[in-house]
Amino acid sequence: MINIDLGATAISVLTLFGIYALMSISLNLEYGVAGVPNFGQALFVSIGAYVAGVTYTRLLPLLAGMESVHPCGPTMGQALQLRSEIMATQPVAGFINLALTLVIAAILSGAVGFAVSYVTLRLKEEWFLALVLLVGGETVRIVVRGADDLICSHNGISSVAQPFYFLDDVQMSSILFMLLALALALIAYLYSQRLTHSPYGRMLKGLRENEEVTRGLGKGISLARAQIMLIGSAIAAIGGVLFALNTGFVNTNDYVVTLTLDVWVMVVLGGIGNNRGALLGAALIAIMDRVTQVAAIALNMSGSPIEFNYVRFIAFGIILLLMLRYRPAGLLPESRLTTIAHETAKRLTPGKTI
Amino acid sequence: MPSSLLVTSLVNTIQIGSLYALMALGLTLTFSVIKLPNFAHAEYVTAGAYAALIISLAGVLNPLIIIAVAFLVGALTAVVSHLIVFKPLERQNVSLYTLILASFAVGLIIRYILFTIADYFNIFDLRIAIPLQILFRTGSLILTNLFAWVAPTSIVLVILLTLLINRTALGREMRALANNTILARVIGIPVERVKNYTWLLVGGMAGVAGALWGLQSAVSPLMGWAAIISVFAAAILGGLSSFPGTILGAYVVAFSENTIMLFLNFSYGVDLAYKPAIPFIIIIAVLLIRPQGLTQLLKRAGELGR
Amino acid sequence: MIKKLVSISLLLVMLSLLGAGIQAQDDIETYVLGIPLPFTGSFGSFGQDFERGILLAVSQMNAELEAAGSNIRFDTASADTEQTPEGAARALQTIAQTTGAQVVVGPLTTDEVLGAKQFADENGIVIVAMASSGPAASIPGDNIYRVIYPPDTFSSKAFATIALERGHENMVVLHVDDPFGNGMNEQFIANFQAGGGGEVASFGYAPQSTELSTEAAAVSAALAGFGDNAGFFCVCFPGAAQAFVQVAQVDPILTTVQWMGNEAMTTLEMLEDPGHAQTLINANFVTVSQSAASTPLTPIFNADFVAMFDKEPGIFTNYAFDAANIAMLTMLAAGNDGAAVKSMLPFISNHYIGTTVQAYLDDNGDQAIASYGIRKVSDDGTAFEVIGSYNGNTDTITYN
Repeated sequence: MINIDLGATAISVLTLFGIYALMSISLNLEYGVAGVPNFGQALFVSIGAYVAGVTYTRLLPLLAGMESVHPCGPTMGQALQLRSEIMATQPVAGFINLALTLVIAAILSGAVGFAVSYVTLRLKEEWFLALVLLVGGETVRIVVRGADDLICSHNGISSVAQPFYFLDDVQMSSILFMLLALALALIAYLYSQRLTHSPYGRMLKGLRENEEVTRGLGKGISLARAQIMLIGSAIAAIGGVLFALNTGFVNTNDYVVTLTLDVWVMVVLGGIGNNRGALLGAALIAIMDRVTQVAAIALNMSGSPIEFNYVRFIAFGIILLLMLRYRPAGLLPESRLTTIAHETAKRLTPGKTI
Repeated sequence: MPSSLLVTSLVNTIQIGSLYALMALGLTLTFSVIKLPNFAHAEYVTAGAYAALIISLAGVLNPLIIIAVAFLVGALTAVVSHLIVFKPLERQNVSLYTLILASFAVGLIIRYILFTIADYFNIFDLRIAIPLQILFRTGSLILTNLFAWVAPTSIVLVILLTLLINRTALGREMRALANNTILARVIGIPVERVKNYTWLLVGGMAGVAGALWGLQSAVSPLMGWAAIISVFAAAILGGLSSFPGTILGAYVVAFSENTIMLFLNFSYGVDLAYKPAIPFIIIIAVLLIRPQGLTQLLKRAGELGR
Repeated sequence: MIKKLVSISLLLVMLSLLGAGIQAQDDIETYVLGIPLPFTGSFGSFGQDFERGILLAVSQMNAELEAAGSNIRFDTASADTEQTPEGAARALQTIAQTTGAQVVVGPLTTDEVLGAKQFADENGIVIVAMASSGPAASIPGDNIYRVIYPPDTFSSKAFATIALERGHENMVVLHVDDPFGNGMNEQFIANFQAGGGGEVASFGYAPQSTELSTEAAAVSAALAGFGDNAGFFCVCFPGAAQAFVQVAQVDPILTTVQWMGNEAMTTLEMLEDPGHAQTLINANFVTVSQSAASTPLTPIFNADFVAMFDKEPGIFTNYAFDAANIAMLTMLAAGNDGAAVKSMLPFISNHYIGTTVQAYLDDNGDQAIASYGIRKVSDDGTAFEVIGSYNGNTDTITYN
């Protein structure tokens, strides 16, 4: 029996869209604008989540003026009760904690991104960076999984509640969290729009298209790349904090290669190098995930012998391939960059292509 | 570390390293001839393993037939993915990352088709049922019939492939393609035909590796995916271009995962669950420090030998 | 582009209309039972099997309801958790928001259960988990009920008691490196040493491993180091367990010591290879498993399952069957309302006898009755047979 609650569905999908948008904007800046093939998106997202795992267990009790309890081992249950209680009764502590979490996550992840970009200089071929980041993310995941104290190794940290948890009205609380995610995504979007359309952004795109020429024009490469990795990684980690809060659980098993691939698909679907494309890609993936799941429920209910949950992934792969084949520039291809000088030149010499 | 452990782990190194070599050579070949770091390579392995499992369940227990069928199915999967996906994409001159993404998508599709098949026949986590026998035993050195199949088959295939590349016309054409695609086209090498043959060989070897893998551990739709990083590590150790380098790389990876891991566990208490991190660390270290892999090392050794 | 978005929302609307159409048939009231399970990922085959167990329970219940003239029917809505915590949260959201389901049977692992927890707690959806047993999800007052399978505190004690009874002075444990495997390992060590046991050497293997020769070598060497009177305990999932036995069957040490293993090792696939079966027989392999604590209903369940799906039920399938029955009975009593179901579920499960054992929930909403069967491989190597029982509440072993 299908009986869709459109309101609740919209809230969930829009929240997911906001979180995905942060990730796709981040990757679009890194790859689409600066040409850094970040196949370690899951790593930077996970940094945000792990930071949340740490602050909710160590910082939050302090902010609430309570004694913190060791979150792992025998006191695991006690620590969990403590943080749910604080999040339910002390909203101010919750908000300060979230703000600090976002800042710490952004700084930490940005620093890692900055450092990683210097690694590029040492690599023989550019795509090696993709591979280094891909396996680097998995390595960090395995190490965090094995670390006993950070986020209680494989157990993870549960009850990492979103900041509006204290509200009794669940729908209002989830709407507010959705708005928070959308607001952060909007800020990231506006910021990256400004960045892309600045002289700096054009320089980055020049870098992406032709390193030698840009270098020849006297633009520093390594620092520019490092800066963009810093910004991109910081945005990804902010997305990671929200990603963890949306589930209410921090666990290493969520930050696997598939997450990275999802983000790549968003950027490729939407349009590489175009921030609006990144938003569109995030929206499409958030919607497609839900639509295919609903379709799977409906089809499985109808008694069809095929397991639609596998077909979902096959369909996902086919759609991606079709896009790569027939719309390689994405649904919203990157527009041509123009400057005032460019426009003027165009106006003065009609009929000529510049 | 006890000496018996050393012996056992060295036997494992040879057995698993041979399998890695089979898979990694295909990867190196795809990378040098087709210019593609193919993440769908894992799925050709799984496809071969399932083909082998299905015919063994149908009652065929002759290892040679099993291996042949696995070769055919692996080769077919690879060639089909080339014709339907990679060839049209290459024609469009897309970026390398588009190709990498496409290879992930191909992998996803094949994996979940295999999931559907496994679910339909209810064949998750089954092993290809050739009973294990001890062939040879002295002290702590034990060689089984499985070892006798896996290691020599892999080594023979590796040798055959190397001969094919170095001694035949097709191999010469493949090498020409690997060196310079445009030049190869100009001098009249039938590029498309050579590419088709390359995919056939690559997929076939991956399929055989899958069948051999399924002789020693349970076949599941995720088995290839689980091994792909180790295989990439081996190919990268080979500088993604050299055959001897790749073979050596495969054994280095297997040696690290077995002997070195056990040594770390016994001497420093490093948990075995960190084993999957080993190929990761190898990849990062090689790419950062010696992107040419072991090739230079091999060359130098060759010069010294002369 | 906007055209595409519009067409997608149109699709959503059409689906909902379709749902409304089905709903409007006659005055039959339909309760939806959600099934969030890992259909993809390495536990994909478990997910499929569990779903079948739930479908069997639902079809039997619907037949009875129809015969009794009731106007209530059950329907199911399954969504894939992708075997990740966040995937479990999304699956639960979709199920609840698409069908209005208030009760779900699943997810499988403790990770996934905890991933689904926040949404369930906030939206009053009751999670009836059939197989999660990790201690991390033993939380009082939340919406998670783990009705059939008791926490591993009991089975770890059973294994420790058996090890001590067998006269093992030292033990070697190989365990999957996840919350379940680690929890079992830690509790086993504590119980074994509290009962007077000596040293325990533990090795974790990475969850996705398909090949365990390194691990087998390490276990063998550790056993050799302990000398006589050492035993081996495997906490492994079926695929890895097979890979392990495959190498262990020619190992000079592992073939001479006694083995124990967790319940997941008792799949029939483990015995498919006669060499593997013989290895387990020689090793005097025993397992402590709840599914062996069978009731008169167990064989009936097995027969019904085969009749409906034309294949044998998998290893934990009857837990899913029982969990689905408890969920449905509670819904029949409390209506399709999460809060009411949460309030009544302990009462109903405490009065339920199914294919495993009676359920009785503790303060955390976890099964508190720990009645296990002790099983070994039959002499002909074709099946696992019950040789005794373990009562976790009194810590006593009884052999038949």
